[in-house]
Formats: sequence, structure tokens, C-alpha cells
Amino acid sequence: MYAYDELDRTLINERVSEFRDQVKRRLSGELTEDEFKMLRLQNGVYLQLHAYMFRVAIPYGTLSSKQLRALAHVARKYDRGYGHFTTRQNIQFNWIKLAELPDALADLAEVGIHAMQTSGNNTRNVTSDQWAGVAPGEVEDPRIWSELLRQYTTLHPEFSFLPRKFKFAITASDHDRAAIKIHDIGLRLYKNAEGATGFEVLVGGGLGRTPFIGKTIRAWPRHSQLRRGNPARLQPVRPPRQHLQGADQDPGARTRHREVRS
Amino acid sequence: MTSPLEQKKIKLAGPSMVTANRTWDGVVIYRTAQQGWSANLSDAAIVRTSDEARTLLGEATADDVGAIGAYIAPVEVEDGGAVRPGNLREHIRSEGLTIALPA
Repeated sequence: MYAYDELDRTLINERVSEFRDQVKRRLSGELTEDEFKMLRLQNGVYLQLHAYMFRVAIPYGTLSSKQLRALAHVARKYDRGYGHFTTRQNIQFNWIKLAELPDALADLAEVGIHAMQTSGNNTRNVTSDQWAGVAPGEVEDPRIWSELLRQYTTLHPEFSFLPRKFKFAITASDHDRAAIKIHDIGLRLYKNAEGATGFEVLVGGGLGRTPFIGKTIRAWPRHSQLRRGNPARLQPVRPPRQHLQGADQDPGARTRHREVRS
Repeated sequence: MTSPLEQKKIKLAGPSMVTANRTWDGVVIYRTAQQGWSANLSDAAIVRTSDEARTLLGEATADDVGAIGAYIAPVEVEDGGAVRPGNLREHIRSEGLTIALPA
């Protein structure tokens, strides 16, 4: 699995420090809830009916035993001893205290786990086949491409303030266990008749109130074209003159997004 | 369903209270008649008119540091004065899951 280098470690440690300061300012009253809401959402912190909820990223569902133990530690120390794995291969803790969240994030950062882009209007956790790497008939390991997309989109300003959340899924098998047709962008790695590997690109899929099956828009981009194409895929869903602070409040954003998808 | 957090018009169908989540830990809390907050529904200030509700909600939302997302919710007041949640949402918020978890 991908091993964090010094740059990755610095990034997530700085993120923890930044969030610790934001929480401190919220609890002291320096930040109002309206000001803080977007900041907490960018760190996976929701407020639900009964308590805060903290969603932690597990990119394409891959965890080491050390990371799994760290999640268990967070569940025991900061929550009620359990977590809830999600359909996007993340984990949620449902009873966490805001005041203790920076400490929980710091504990997770020690093993290379964070909560960036697990909520809010940005590119969410890239999901993949749960049998990636061991599935019979797989043409390549899709986790490599999942990781590439994760790194490319994480904290990328172009993908951080979208009108709505945006989801990628990647598979490299004929049997689509990653459900790529119900994602905003679904990628299927396959070999063509000449034996070369490329992607089928599907766009516009999704569940929710208006479920939609994604359509293939490009049957054969090569590897090198993938990264160049994705910002272009996102461009139509971004409303004109999008204000950074206003994405959640933009009443027309959902409509425009649906129009683009249909 | 419209979230109670988006309440604009205040129209009461019966006795009501103001509830929110405590900022530092997210616990469900209730506005009291002493202009504070309590985690016990039995301490909640009960209002019966729109004007009373508007006043209580105004006090609650003014406390942006202590509480988040204050809104008005129905309660049932029993003959002996005991207060119970007035709908399923508030029942879950007050008393937790409606099913038993495995031991």
C-alpha cells in the first residue's frame, strides 16, 4: 500500500494543527457556528440529531493493521467503543466530542490517517473494488490509479469548493464491484484488442433523490490522458462566478448540477 | 421533510420547548426558564404561545458559543407535570435508539 513520505506527514500534521486552532477559536466564541461550519465539514465533522459525527478517510478502502488498531483506539478513547464503516469505504464515529477531535485527529495522523474531504462539496474518497489486487481477471491494480487521483484531487482548489460533493470510483475487473455507474466519474480499466490498457470513462451517475446511471463518454483514453481529462469533467458542474464561501448556500447549484447530469 | 433547523414561521400545535446541541461535545440540550441549558428534558422551559416560543428561541440562538442549531420542538406534558418528547425525532434525540443494541 501507499507509504506516506515526509511531505505527506507534514501536510496532515499541519492540517491537525490548523483544525486544533479552529476548534479552539470556535469554543472561545471567536468563530461563530456559521463561520466554523465549513471548516469542520472540511475535516469530516458533521452535527447530527444527537451528537457530532466524525468521518475518517480510508482511501479506496485500504488499511494496514496498524491503522485499523488506531481506529479502534479512537473508538475506545474518544467515542463509545465502536465505529461504523460506510458505503464509501470510510469509517464514522457517532458520539465524538468537538473539544477532543483535534486529539483524535492527531492520534490518527501518527499512522497516516486523516479526515480531509470526507464531507463538504469537494471530491470525496475515491472508492475501488474491495478485492482490488487479488481479483481474478483484473487487468491492473486499480488502487494505483485510485491513489493517483486521491493525491491529485486532495486539497486541490479546483476540486475543493464545488456546488455539490463529487465522487470517483475505479475498477479493473469485468465484474463491477465498485459500482462505477452510480458515481459522478466511473473509470474501468480494460485491455483493448491489441492488449494495451486504457480506461472506459463514465460520467454523471449517482444515487440520492434523482438516481442516474452513468453514461460512457470516452471508451478509450490512455493512461496519460486521464489526469488531463478530469478537471474538464468537473468544469460543467461548477456554477459561473462561484463564491468560495457560498457553495453550500447557493440555491441554484443543485439544479444546475442535475441539469448537467441529465 | 423540512428540517426544524429551517423554521421560519413559529406556529405551535401544543406545548413546546427549545432544543439544540451543546457546542463543545454535541450533547442534546434544552433551554431552561433560567436562561441556561440542561441535558435533561425535565428541566426544559415549556412554552404554549408563539410569542413565548419566539422569545425563548431568540434567547437560545443568541448563545452561539454554548449551543448550536436551536429550534422549537413539541413536547407532551403529562397530568403529573412530567415532560416527554412530542415526536419521534425528539424521542430519539432525548432517549437514544428505539431498538436494543446487542449486549
